[in-house]
Formats: sequence, structure tokens, C-alpha cells
Amino acid sequence: MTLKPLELSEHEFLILDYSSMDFIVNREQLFASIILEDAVEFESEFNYLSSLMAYREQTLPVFDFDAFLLETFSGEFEQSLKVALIIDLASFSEGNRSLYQERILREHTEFSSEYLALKVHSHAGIKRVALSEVCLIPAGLRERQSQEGILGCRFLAGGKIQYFVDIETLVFNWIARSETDTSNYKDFS
Amino acid sequence: MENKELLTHLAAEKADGVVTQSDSAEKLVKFLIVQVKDQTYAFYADQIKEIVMNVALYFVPFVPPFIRGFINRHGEPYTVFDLNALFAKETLDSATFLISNFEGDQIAFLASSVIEILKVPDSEVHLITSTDEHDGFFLGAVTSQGAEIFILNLPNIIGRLEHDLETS
Repeated sequence: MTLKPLELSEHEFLILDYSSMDFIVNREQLFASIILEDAVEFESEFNYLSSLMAYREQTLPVFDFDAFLLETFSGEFEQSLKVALIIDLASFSEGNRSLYQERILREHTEFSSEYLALKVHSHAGIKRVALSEVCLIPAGLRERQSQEGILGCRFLAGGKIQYFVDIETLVFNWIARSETDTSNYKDFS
Repeated sequence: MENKELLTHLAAEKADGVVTQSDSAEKLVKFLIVQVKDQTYAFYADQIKEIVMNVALYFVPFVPPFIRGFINRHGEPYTVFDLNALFAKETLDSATFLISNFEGDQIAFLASSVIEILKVPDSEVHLITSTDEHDGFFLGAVTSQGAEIFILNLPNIIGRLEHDLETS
């Protein structure tokens, strides 16, 4: 299939709109999104895994993206209606699926092996964004930020910054570090 | 001086930041003198391409304390180094940014203020050779109005980020 130039220059992103900054996520990393109404609170040893939800007759672990934002970016968010972003584990790398199997499913056999969910607030929407507007992280920080799931950024006309994040890296860093390091590598002292 | 000579002179000045008064006169070296809290430092003038003030500083996680975040210059992010945080372990409260010409990366430095552009004879630039880690942040010193001003070693300062990220 031949793509038109316009299709090559733009891409669909989910934009998560917070007061101090936004996050943009590749639309292709998302399977679905639903209003999160009946999540059950859940105590977990894994970072940001805070509740459970039912989806397609399966039990999904729900990771709290808002909490990650608050802790990692010192961000602020309004208490609003919550949305669950459904992530299809088949879209992730084999290595990460193995990690998920070993760390999560072995401990919690009741969880779905197909999907997980991310809790975000409802100020979100799908938009086409010109790729020319999305910048790479400056060279000296690019590799580290990429390892942390931050792939790029975009500046809006009003002065706000949007971070382009990789959901797979974020989630699997949370899982991988739950047993070894809960500091999120923030301590450089 | 003919235009051709003038152009040659200007090209040489842009290339290395060194001003030649004439073939027989001593070379002048241009520095940008800046205040960072209570310290004064010298950048080679050709290392800084722009000075901007009062632009937003955007937080970036997973970085050492001397990296204060990004600023937006013409739609591109620039990593902001805080020299006071690096040297004195205390963050600087300022909104004056020096945009560097550093090749291969987009880097800015936080400063309290810009004092002057200083042109001094080459003979008054005192370069040092040291293996001390802290002294590695300075290339030497230049004297202005009786005061000694340290010349910043930008490759080593920027290299500190790479070192800290590798060892964190």
C-alpha cells in the first residue's frame, strides 16, 4: 500500500491533557478506552498497580498513570472522571511479555494474560499531530529519557509542553523496578 | 582595508572567536562574562549564540540536579545546565539563559546576569593544565579590572552529564 505524503507527515496520538503539561501516546499502543466506574481497590507490591477492573469477562490490573505523573513529573491533576486505557499485551515485545508473565501473572493468576489497563483522567482525546512538531529529546539526555519511556516533546503555541511517552516502557519499568528499586532512579546525589 | 580583507577578517573572527587587530598586533580573545549567583565566569564568546530571558523552564525527570529542565527555542528543546547547582550544590533562581553553540547537542546555561563582553590580549589568558576533577570544569582564568575570572571548560561540564547518567 502506498501512503500519501499527508499520511506520512501526521500520526494519531492520544493526548492526555493535564494542567501543567500534557502527554502524547501513540494511538497504536492503545486497544480501547472505557469509563472506569467499577474498579476495585487493590493492595499490590507493584509500583502504581492500585486497582482491578472487569473487561470482556476478564480481570485486568489497573496501573495508575496519574500517580506516576504526580510522583515523577511533580505534576498536578484535577479530580475528574477516570478513564481506563486498555492495552493489548500482544502489542508489546516478547521480552516484556515474558517479564509480565514472570512478575505479574505468576503472582496473580486471576489476571488477564491478554490485557492490562492504565487509569488516566478524562481530559483526553485522539488527535492527528504533525510529526514535524514533535521534537527529539536533546542528544545528551536522549538515551536515558528513552530508557525511561520519554521519547520526545512538543511545544504548544500557548507555552505548554507535551511529552511523547512510550506506554510499554513506562509500564514495564514500573514492574521491573518494583522488586529491585522503588526510587524510579530519581536520586542522583 | 578592502572589502575582501574585511570579509576574511570577519570570517576568521566567526570561526574562532579571536579578533586580530592587525598582522602585527597581538590577538584579542573575546569572552562573555556572566554572573552566576555570587560568582563570575567567562565563556568564550563564540560558545554562546543567544541570550534569552523570561522564558518558561520545563521540568524533566530522571536527570541530575544540575539539569534544570528544558527551554523552548524556536520549537526545539534545549537542556538547561545550572552551573551553581553543579559547583555549589544549590539551584539558581533565575530566568536568564545562555544558548550554547555546542555541536551535537542543544544546551543552554542558566545565569543570574550577563555582565559584559570582554576583549583581552591573548597573553592575558592564563590556561591551566590540571587533572583535578573539579578544576576540570575550568580552562584557566582571565583578568578583568584586577579580578580573576575563571574560564569555563564547556566540553568537561557537558561531559559531566554523560558521566552522571552512566553511573546513576
